[in-house]
Amino acid sequence: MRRTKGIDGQMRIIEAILASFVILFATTFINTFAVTPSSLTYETGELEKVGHNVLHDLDEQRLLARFVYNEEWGNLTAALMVCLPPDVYFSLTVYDLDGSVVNNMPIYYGDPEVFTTSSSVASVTYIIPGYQATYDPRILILQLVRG
Amino acid sequence: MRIVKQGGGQFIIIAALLVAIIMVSVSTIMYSAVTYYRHERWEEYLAIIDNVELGSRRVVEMSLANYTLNNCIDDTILRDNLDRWINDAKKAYAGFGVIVSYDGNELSDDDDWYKNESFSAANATITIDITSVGLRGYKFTAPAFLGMKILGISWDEEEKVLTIPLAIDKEGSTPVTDLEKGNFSILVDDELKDFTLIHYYSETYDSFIHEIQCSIEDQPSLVSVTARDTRGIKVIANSTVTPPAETMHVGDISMWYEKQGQQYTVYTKIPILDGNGQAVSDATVYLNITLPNGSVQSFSKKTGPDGTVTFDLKSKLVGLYTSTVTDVVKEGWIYDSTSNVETSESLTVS
Repeated sequence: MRRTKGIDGQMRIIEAILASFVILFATTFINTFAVTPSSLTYETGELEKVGHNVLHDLDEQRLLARFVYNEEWGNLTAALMVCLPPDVYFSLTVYDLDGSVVNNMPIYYGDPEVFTTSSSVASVTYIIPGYQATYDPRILILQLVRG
Repeated sequence: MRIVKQGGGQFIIIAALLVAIIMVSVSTIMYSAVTYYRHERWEEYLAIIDNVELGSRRVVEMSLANYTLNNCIDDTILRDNLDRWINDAKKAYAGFGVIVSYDGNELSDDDDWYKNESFSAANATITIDITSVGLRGYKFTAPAFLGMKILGISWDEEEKVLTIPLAIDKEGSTPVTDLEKGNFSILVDDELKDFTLIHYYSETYDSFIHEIQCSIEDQPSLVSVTARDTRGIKVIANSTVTPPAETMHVGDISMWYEKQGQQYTVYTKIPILDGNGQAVSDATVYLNITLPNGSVQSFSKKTGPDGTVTFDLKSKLVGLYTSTVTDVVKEGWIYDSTSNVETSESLTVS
C-alpha cells in the first residue's frame, strides 16, 4: 500500500511535467504568429506611418513644396531630422514625372549603407502637385530604417 | 482504488491537451480572422488618401493662383490641372488603382474684383477611389478663397496721408494675418505708390487689420489695392476717396420791418458761411419766428449765390419778434452750429 502510493506520486509528477510541455508547446506555436513590436512587419509599418506623417505635416504647413521647388535641400534635410525620431535614419529622393532624380545633392541622415544592408527598410511615396501658381508634380520617395 | 488514482493522473494530461487544443483552435480562428487586415496595408491606403486629398486641395489653390495672376483670362486652368492631377496621382501610386474624379469646377471672375469688397474663389468636388481594395466614393469639397475689404479709407488733408484699412480673409472666413509689404501694391489715381504697412486687431471692425499708409499731396479720388497671399492667389479691391465734409455756420443775422397800411412785414436776413468765412449757396435754412402773441411760425428756404437768404413774415401784431435758426442742410456739408456768429435775433415792432 505504501509502495503503490509512492509510484502514484511519481506518475503524477511525470504527468504534470508532460502537461506543462504540452501547454508550453501550444504557447510557442501561437507566438510564432504574433505581430509584436519587435517583429519586422510591425517595425516597417510603424516607420511608414511615421514617415508619411512627417511628410504630410510638412506639406500642410506649406514647407515641403517650398523646400522642394526652391531646391532648399539643406532645409529639407534639417526639417526631416527634426521631425523624425533621432534613431531613425532616412534617405529622400525627389523625382519628376519622368522618373528623373531632381535633388542634385543627397538628402539623408545616418549611414547610407544601412539602407542596402538592413532587412527592414520602410518606404513612403508622396506626391506634391506644384508650388504657387505652377502645376509641376514631384514624387518623393522616403526610405526609413532604425539606426 | 489504484484504478481510480491512475484515472486522476490521466485526467491531468487530458485536461492539458484540451487546454492546448482550445488555445491552438482559438488562436487559429483569430489568426485567420485578422490575417486579412494584417496583410492589407490599411495604413498605406489611408496615407494615400491623405496625400491625394491634400494634393487635390493644392491643385485647386494653385489653379486659382495661376488664374488670378493672369487676370482671370484662362478659365479652363482649373479643369486642365485637375485632369492632369487625375493622371499623375494614378501614376504616382501605380498598382493601387487610385482614381481621382471631380464633379464640378468653378472659378470666380474679374467681375468680383475692383469693388470695395472683392474676392477670388475656386471650388471643386473631388472623389477618390482605390480600386485595389474596393474603396469607393471618398468625396470632399476643395475650396480656395481670398477676400479683401477696404474699410473706411481716409485722406488727411493736413498730414497729406492716405490711410487704407483692409480686412483680408480666406476659406471659412479665417483672417489672413501673414501678409507683408511685398504682398501688396497700391495704385492711387492709376499711379503706383510706395507705402508703409502695419497690422493690428481692431475692436471697431472686430477684425485683424492690415493698414496701408502712403503720402499723397493732392486729394485722391480712386484707390486700387492688389493683394497676393502666400499661396499666390491675387485679389484687387477699389475704393473712391470721399473728400472730407466741409462745415458751414450762420453769420450775423439781421432783422427789420416795413409798415404797409395796417400790416407789418418783418424781414430776417441770414448769411451762411463756410469755414473760411466764404458764402455758401444752395444751403437750406430752417427758421422759426416767434410772434408777439407767443405763436411760432416755421420757414425754410435756400441761400442764393451770395450765400444769404431773406425770410419775410406779414403780421398785424406789434411787439417782439424772435427769429431762430433751427437747422442748415446741404449735401456733403456739415452744419457746425457751435461756430455760429448768431443763432437767433430779435426785433421790436411798434
